[in-house]
Amino acid sequence: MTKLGIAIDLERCVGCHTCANACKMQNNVPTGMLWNRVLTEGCECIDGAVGTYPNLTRTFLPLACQHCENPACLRACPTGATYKDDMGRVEIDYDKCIGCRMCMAACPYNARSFNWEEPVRDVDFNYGDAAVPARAKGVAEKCTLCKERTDRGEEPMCVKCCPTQARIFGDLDDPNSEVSRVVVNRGAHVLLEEQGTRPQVYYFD
Amino acid sequence: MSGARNSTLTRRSFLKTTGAAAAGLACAGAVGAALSGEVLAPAQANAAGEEKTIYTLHQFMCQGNCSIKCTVRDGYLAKIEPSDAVAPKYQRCCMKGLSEIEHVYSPLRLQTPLKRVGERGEGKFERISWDEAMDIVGSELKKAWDAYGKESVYISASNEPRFGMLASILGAGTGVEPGIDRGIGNGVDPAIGGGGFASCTNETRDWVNANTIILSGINFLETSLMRSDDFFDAKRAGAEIIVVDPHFSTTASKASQWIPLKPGTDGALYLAMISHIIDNQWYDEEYMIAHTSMPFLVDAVSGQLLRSGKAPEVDPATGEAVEPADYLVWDTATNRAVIYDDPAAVPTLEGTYEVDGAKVATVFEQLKASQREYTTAWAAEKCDIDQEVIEKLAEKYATGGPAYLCFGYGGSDKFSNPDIQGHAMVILTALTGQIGKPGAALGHPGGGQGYGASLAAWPLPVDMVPAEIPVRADRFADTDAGVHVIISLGNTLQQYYANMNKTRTWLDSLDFILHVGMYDEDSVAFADVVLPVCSKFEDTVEHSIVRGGYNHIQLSQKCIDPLFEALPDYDVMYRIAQSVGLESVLPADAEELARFSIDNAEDPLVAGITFDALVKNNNTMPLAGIEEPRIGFADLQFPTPTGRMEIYYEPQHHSGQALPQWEENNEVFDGNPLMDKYPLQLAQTRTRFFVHSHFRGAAWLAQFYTGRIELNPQAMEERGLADGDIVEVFNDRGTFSCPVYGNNAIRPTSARIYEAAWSKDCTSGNPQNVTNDHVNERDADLITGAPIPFNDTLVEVRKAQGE
Ligand code: SF4
Ligand code: SF4
Ligand code: SF4
Repeated sequence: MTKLGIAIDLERCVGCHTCANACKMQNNVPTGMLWNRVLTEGCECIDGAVGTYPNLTRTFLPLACQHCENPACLRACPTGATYKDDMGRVEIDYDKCIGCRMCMAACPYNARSFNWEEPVRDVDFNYGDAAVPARAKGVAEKCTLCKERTDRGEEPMCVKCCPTQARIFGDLDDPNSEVSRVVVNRGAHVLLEEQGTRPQVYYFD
Repeated sequence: MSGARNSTLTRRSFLKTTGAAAAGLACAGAVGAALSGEVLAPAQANAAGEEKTIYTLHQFMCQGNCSIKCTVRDGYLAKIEPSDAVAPKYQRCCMKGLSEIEHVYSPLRLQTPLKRVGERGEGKFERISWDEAMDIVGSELKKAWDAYGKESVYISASNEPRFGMLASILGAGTGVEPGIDRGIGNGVDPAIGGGGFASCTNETRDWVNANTIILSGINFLETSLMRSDDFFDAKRAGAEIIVVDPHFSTTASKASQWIPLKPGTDGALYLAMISHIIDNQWYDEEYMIAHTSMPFLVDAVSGQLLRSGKAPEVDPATGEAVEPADYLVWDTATNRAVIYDDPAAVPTLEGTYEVDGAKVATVFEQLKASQREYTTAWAAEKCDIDQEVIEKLAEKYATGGPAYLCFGYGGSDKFSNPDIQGHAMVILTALTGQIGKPGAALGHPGGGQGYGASLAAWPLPVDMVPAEIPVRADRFADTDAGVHVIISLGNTLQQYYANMNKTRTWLDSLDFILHVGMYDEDSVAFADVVLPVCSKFEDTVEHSIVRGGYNHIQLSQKCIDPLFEALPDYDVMYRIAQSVGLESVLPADAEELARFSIDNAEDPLVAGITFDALVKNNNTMPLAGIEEPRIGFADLQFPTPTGRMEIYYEPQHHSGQALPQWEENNEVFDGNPLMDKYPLQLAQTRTRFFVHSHFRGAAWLAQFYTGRIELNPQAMEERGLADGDIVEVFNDRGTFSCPVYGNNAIRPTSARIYEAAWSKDCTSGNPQNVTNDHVNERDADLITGAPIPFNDTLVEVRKAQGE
């Protein structure tokens, strides 16, 4: 089996938001939405810090769909629009999505966005990969692990564009893949482990 | 471990942060409004449309020098990604580069030529045709030439648009804007023969060879984002990276150690390190004797270096006398003064002697004396850091193996006297020999400072040269330089001048202002005529720019046709030349120029690289011999008269700065009574989100950051401020207002704003309304003159009236 996943090196992540815009561009994500966001942990503002000057720390936290092995969203989805595919990715069949947003309420990572209106873009054309399907008003959307790219054997756009190589992509079922080795050797952890979602996105530093 | 980490990561915090990010979208466009009815030709999105892939280059001002791969679909720039035509190490494109698919089509683009109809600065324009615009430009230029001569025209040039030959063609003045980025270099470069930028002597790919890397006032992980891997690779290889910065910058947060010093006191830190290294005899005597001016003899009274009296030779090219470099040292073998390069001499570093009845000492002896006050205890107080921190840093630098001493543009260099910091840093280097070898270097590492190649210049008639303007552009408002016409390329009128209210009065006195740019930036409002230029993605020829980028030669390629009525840089430059009948000296188009400049380049680094070869190689090729990182001065020969590090600045003896002496800043110093009124230092720092003014109009970057001033929560509380309040930031020079946010990363006695904010990013006014335009009294002694002390500015912040 194939179980695609990402491991993110929090030491190398400089909070640049390149992954956020790479994702937005590749996937034709409309104005006001990001599938992939970079948070500053413990802060309400971007580039804040935790502590009292000068005893401070800062950790950036890039966050998108965790492609959970036990996805809370999938269990909540009444129509089967959300599904786990044979590459281990959690995907949405937009045609089956009825816009009930049960998945959004269920996801502990706030990874999903919803098209409340007909999507608008800052420019008047569809950008990104031509193979990415358009989404209409009333459907949920989120990181697909760049389905169209990973189907072609390419790495996700956020991984390709990350300027510090903080993001490592690969098959978690292959013990020799770089991502598997990093997860084991660098003591990677997952977010909100207690939720039992078993994310396929790992973090390490 | 994961439990502890996750404790701050409640579900609620995920949600809250999303809301904050989504609320950030801003930026309404004045020019868009002025040109109502002018909208982008609407595109019918068609996923099945015709696609082509184009390799080109991105951005000049940012030192990233990225090669990019663009997808153009149905004539629209639909996707940008790192180029795969370069080695993996160079496959880079940041969020600014990616945002171009939106930024290029921004409603803030200047769309047509414009003519001013309101007052200067008001921003009221009417659209005119290119022909009308060029008629006005031609007649205004000729009018100024007739009335005051060609030197009355000044071209204020930023990195974009790029009109390389225009000043020569028009015989106009240009390039006297050294008030920026050269503040520390003023202190470093006289010693090593540089011109003021003090570019790092080694490349950052060499950082892995260093044990210690000191980064002073440079937010490298934001401003040199594309070289971040060098930072982390070095750290993983065991280098200790120490960041000296008043704020907890991104770079500080990733460093091994952060030294949070008082703003503008970096010089004190480095002076004290010199003292501590001398006291502990951690210096490298052999290096000092062989490669520096430390053993040279100085007359203790006159401050003059002793010379043998060799007659100077005359440079046949310039007709000027060449510095004879005939300095004397004390020879311990014969107990007399001899010329420094006497092969038989055994020079000493120390001692005072008598030569021809005069009391003389070695430069090193003088240094020891001049350092006496600058103890680590003294600096600890000045900088507000622990004495032990300074001592450990000095020890690590001097005794801990190969080390880098790096500094930046945008922090301590923008005070009134950063040359003192630079001078102290170059002396630290001279004491320890931390230069010219792997892992050891000095300077500004921005962009990586790799190999750069020079290209051929188009031959213009010999009499076509820029006018010499004896006054620096940032002083035009104070000193009449005879300039009556300004051609502003990019947002220079806001960016290059402190104290905007003074700038406004001066701009009002000019006969004619031509602005050439892409976006509706602040400078536009002052112009009489505005000409819109294209982004580098739009062109009228296939290839128009060849660039010696980071370790590569890169060629641009057209992705899309010019948008609106904008024209590419070259075409606009051509039209300006044509407006006064001088276009015949130019090549017919930009492609001819690009081909010429690479095919006629003589630099050995470009061996084998031609225009046609570039096209075949997807518009980028590595320079010859870049496999190993660049190590500057590996032969320890410096381009100074003696070939040594000449750390004694004899011409500055009269001001006491032959060796660096502490001098307080102009505004930001303890005990300044002005602090009672204006207790906060205004720090205008650089950020990953913008390259100065550029990208301010990118909605895809405004997702992450919108205009604001940041204060420490403690300073917020003292002033009764809450996040999002509109505040006035003011001093005696002026005021501006914008939203305020609390951030623990900010030093409690400072207010931070990212530099070059447009007025559009503010509620009213803009940050240059308050910035300090003081000129250091030692201006004439400094190789590029005193820097503009933008950050040496005191302000107070209060809730805006009526809010
Ligand atoms: S692109 Fe890489 S370094 Fe930048 S925020 Fe994303 S993960 Fe972090
Ligand atoms: S992160 Fe959320 S949306 Fe993604 S698979 Fe897990 S539960 Fe579903
Ligand atoms: S802005 Fe600079 S770093 Fe970013 S893609 Fe362009 S050249 Fe590279």
